[in-house]
Amino acid sequence: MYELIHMLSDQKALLSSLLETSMLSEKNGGTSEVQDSMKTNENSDNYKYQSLAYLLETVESCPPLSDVPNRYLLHDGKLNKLDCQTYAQTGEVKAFLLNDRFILAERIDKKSSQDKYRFDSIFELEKLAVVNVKDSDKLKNAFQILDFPNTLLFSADSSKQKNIWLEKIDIAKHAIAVKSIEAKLKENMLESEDESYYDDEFDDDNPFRDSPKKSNTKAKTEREKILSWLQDAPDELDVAIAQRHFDEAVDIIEKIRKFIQDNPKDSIFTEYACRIERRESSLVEILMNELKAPPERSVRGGPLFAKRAVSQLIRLGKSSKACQLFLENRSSLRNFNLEQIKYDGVTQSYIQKITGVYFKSLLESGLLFEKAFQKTPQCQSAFISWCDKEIKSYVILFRDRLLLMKANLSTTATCIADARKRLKELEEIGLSFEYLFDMLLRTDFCKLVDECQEKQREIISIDSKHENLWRPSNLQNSQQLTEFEKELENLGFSTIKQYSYDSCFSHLCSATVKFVRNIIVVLNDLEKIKCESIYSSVVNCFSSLLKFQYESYDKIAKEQHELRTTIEMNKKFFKKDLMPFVTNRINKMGIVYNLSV
Amino acid sequence: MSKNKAQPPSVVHKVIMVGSGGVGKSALTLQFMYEEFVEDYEPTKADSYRKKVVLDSEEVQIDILDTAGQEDYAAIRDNYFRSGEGFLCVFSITELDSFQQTVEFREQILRVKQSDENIPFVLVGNKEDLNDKRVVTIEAAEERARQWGVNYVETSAKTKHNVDKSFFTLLRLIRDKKLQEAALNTQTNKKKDKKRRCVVL
Repeated sequence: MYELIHMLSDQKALLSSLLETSMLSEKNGGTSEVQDSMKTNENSDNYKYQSLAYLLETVESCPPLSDVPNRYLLHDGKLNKLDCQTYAQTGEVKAFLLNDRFILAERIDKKSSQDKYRFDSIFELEKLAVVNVKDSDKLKNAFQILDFPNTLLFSADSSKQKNIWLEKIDIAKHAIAVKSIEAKLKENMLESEDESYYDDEFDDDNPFRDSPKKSNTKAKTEREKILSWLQDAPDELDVAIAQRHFDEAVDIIEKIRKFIQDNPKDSIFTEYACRIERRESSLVEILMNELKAPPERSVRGGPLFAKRAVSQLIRLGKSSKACQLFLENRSSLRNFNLEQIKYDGVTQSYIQKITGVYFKSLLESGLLFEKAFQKTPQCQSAFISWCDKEIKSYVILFRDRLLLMKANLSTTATCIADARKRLKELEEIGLSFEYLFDMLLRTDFCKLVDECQEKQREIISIDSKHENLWRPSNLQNSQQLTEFEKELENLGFSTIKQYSYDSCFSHLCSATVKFVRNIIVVLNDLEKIKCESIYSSVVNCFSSLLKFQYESYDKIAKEQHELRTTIEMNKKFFKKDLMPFVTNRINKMGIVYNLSV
Repeated sequence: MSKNKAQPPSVVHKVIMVGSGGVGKSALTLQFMYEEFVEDYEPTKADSYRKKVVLDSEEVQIDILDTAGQEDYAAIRDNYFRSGEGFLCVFSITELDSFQQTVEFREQILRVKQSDENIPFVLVGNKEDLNDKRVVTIEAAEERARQWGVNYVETSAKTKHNVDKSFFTLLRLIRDKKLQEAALNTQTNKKKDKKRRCVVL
């Protein structure tokens, strides 16, 4: 081998000298093609070969190295050998870094300046662990190589020198890794070529036979590019995940998936898929945890982050998980907002705040959901059932709080009206839950109406015991009478003036006026509830109240003879004015019913 | 070389940081070495550090090999593990995967160390400051540590919480193991001596 190298280099020297002479003889305009080709060779193969030859020349009793083709020297230089424990220098070595081996040699004659070394040890680069030893007071520019049972510590003369060593070793290792993948790829290509062999036979006459081959080589280089990218992908993915650049991480995963999809038979890609899988699942987990974190404690919480995490999960193909977590996240966010509401003593505003939180959450969720899950309609039903749950939870809270705070009809009705307004808003984005709301609260509404009826009846029955309430109203002066007339006119009783007499009296007794006022308040409140299910209760309520009031007139007339005329006048007002008025209002609520007594 | 003349104390305890990528091995190491916390993340290839510490009023040196969590090549990982006398097996309490992978690391270490169950080993749950993102419960980690017969320490490289404790716990284990082995060696030597004497007699 050694001789062969010598022969070759001799030949080369001869050739180049020949060329030089021919150049001289053809000074002007001779072709220099041969020389050019010679130079390019020098830059690649021959150079590599020479460098190896140099190694073999300078290192005595070096094991054969030329047995592996394409082996070449990457770097060489002097290193100080140190004791691993004490850091004391134990000697000086000459190190050679080949593309796949690391060789150590010792100087033969320490005094001579001649570069002659004796082979010491050789390491397989692929298995070699290299450790960068950080500088300390005692040690600078050092690195370690571990190859069980050997642990060797070296130091370079400068940090630059050391970095060159580490960098070159790294490059060589990387190249080895790429190569092993390429080898597998080749194996694969051979297999697939075998498969396509029979197809080719039919194409024998094809004049364009060359073109598919060309595209094949093109595909090959394309593939190599992809592979070298794939080589780095796991690392890149780790960095992206660790730095929480989740979008970037998802991009990488999607890219890999696409490669796999495009090359379903390629086992190389599947191998990468395995390596990516673990990282992917950890990414999914991180994203899921982000969504799981309670919003008040999550640093990056809030709808915006949730939205991003959701879209990333969807891209990773975890749409149903994303959907579930998104909705859980929305619920916990709503819960958090709910906890922020403090009861300030005003029931109505308190309940309205609760309503606000629920419906804002529903509305926002609806919009976010629509955007995020556009491409996954299968998640729609999950969302609808979530809304359903939310509404139910809202209704329970709504009912409990109103009960707990013993809210009156007016407050309750206002809160119901408020909720109804919000439900209408939801309908605008295609979520209609009014029916659910009504259905859940139907019995409560009816109870509310019944209770209201009870209360009013009680008022009437108490009033019927105070005979002075059934006398004509004395408003003291004409001015107050006018005011009184105006009030009732505004309420919708235009005939009120015909009951006035003596410039300060009205035939309408206090009990009637009180009843009118109460009835109107009840009407206003019940109007707000706007629920068909309560119609019969409403009718029942008013007809019963009117009847009860009317009966009171009769009872008073019987007991108090002197009040008979006044009672007659009041009965007249009751029949001619009040009854049509209430009927009209009830009809306006959508209840077709004629009240009678 | 003059700088090597001053002999450092002879006892060197070799600690290896193992664990999945991104769990904070380097962050723990740097916090222990230089009391600093590095926010930026860059995957480690393999770095080694040495520091003089006082372990129970005895001056010793700690040699920390901070390995690459991403190292996929088993042969190289074996080479790292073989050089260690004790292991800090780190996972992130916010990442279930990293906790699960501690099992693989443990197995690999035991394989490399000829199934020596008493190999100095501390299970470390890092990122304790991110408690709100915790997915690995203390109970689960302690249960695993109990099964393995090792210590469990929860740390935060960010706040330095328990960082020294985890390293010193491991250092004590390494020291005790070395003392034990030394005692065992002298015993066997004595036995050998006795035997020899018998032969002479």
